Amino acid sequence: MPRQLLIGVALVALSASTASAQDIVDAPPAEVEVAHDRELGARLGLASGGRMTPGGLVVAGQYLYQMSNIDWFEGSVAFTFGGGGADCFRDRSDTYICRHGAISGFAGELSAGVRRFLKPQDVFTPYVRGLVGLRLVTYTDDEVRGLAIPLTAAVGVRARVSELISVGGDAALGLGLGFFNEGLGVQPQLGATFLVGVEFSLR
Amino acid sequence: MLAALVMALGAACNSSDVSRAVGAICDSNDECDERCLLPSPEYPDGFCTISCDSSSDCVGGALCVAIDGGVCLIECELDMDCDFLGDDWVCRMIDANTEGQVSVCHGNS
Repeated sequence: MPRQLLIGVALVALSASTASAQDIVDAPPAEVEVAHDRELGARLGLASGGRMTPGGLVVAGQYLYQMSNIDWFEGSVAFTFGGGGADCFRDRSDTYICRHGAISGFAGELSAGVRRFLKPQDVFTPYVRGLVGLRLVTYTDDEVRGLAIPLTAAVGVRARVSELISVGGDAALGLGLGFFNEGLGVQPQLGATFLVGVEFSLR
Repeated sequence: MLAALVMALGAACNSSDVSRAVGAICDSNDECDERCLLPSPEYPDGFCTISCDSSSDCVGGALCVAIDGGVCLIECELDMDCDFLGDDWVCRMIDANTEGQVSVCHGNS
């Protein structure tokens, strides 16, 4: 009888440990070594636009706040500095048309959204993020200004290099609508951005 | 929102036969890459152009003519080839800046 009791206890203990291991396997992917729930970051990169979408050198800052094990709120401010000269003209039907290059114009943008971290791969943690923004667009030489609402989707990867510092980069695609002066009205926003940067956990 | 975006994208993809270099409507040089042939019977609604020595200096299907030291005007064969510039544009033979004559769009003056 005691032997049967021992076998029964062993079976119960084995099933319990199996259930515990199963819980770990089923657990949602988590970023490795999340030390704090807030982060500040800075990024640098290039944006490619064209027509009425500014492009050029991008300088950006972001604030991250952890909402769950894998989802973080992301708030961002970004500035795009492009070159180019006057590229707007009136066609023969007297319609104002702009054909700006891929890296021209200026933009200042505030955006907010969510960053989701995926399952870590070795020391790298991939993520995806989606944001909605408000963007001020200017093409000075053409005296053209507008306000745009871009939607951004990005994929990226980062690696934690110390307890408080992570480095990484991502590629983003932006799509939206802008409302411009000079009779241009509603114009699409379509561009790509490539950024690299560093993020600091806040104590 | 999606329908508006699709319509805006479609409108943005429409191309134009003219540019700030050659062909755009203008009232002053500021509206062109280089210079504006001001609105007149010769150039109804104005015409953006660039200076040239020969037709190889011209862009957008334009030829170099002996006007004002050499300017680019759009090549044509028939009057209907100039319809996109406006009602008062016709196809005419004009002295080229090099030698001979070329057939270009010009005001019906």
